[in-house]
Amino acid sequence: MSELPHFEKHETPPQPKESIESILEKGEIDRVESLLGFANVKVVSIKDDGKALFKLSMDEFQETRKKIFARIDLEALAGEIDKILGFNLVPPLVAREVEGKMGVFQQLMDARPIEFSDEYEVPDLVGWSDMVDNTEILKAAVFDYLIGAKDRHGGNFLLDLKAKKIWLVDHDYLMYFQERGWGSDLIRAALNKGIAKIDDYVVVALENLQRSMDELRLKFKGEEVLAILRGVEKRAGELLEKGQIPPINT
Amino acid sequence: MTLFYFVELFELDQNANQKKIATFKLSDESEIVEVDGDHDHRVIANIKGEGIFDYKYARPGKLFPYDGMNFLENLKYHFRSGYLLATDAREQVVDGSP
Repeated sequence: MSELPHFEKHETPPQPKESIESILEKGEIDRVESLLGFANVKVVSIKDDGKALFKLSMDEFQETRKKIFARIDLEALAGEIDKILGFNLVPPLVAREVEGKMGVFQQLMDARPIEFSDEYEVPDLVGWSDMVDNTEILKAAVFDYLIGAKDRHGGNFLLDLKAKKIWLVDHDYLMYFQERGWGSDLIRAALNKGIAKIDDYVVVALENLQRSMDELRLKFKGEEVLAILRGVEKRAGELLEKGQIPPINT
Repeated sequence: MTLFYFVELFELDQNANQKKIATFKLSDESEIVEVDGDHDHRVIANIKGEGIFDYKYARPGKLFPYDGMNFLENLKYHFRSGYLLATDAREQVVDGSP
């Protein structure tokens, strides 16, 4: 009997869901639109996969101080710290070339700066901090305390009111504002609401961050970034020791 | 003739389209920045009440509309996320003659 060709039955295995970072990195770009404004920001449509904001790695402000600025590094550093903490506060981002120029490519979130609250018909006496979960405020305040954020205002944190969630953007001036600036509205909100005490979840996150510091130092080069990381490590230790975000003087 | 310096502020709506929400104007005859737009809009109320940092020269303290050109020149650094985006300060000459 002649041997019949053997056909194996192949079923299409379930495809693992592509990560957002992977889509940002490799997704086919459908359309690029420049936004009106001084900072060079573009809205990029990714074929079948939503939209992202693209920001050039340098703008004029950074160019004049380029020795201390590296936008991709700083945005990526903030994203990496957030990832290690597991806080899910920084929208997914990657470094990518768009139209021949490198920059930060970050998922466009369905969220708005606090000042957008009008469209949600928020009563005048209700502040933004009443419209998101306290755990989100605490996480964001801890994050800002850790990175030494002194440039966090209503224009660079976003609210997803449906999810009662906070997103943090614009970490490009982080280095510049280590020693100056006026602090973080999120830290002030946590202190004002009396929710600055860190809970077990944050303790675990901070301990995890402490264990990951060497990995971060290997990943991010440059003396300025390393100085930021030294500050992060020091403040993580302080938070664990004190058990809460200390009052600020700004 | 009056010389104006102005900055426009745009917000990104849910469909990723920009909408102008305010124009900040400073004339050469005044030292205070005036705001054209809905003054009840939280962007405008917030910026008038809370002020902005002096990004350009990193001087301590905050800047408010009464700080004139310093305030105007720093708006582009304050609003840079894309969700809110300010233009550079530009000049406009208005002929006031009848």
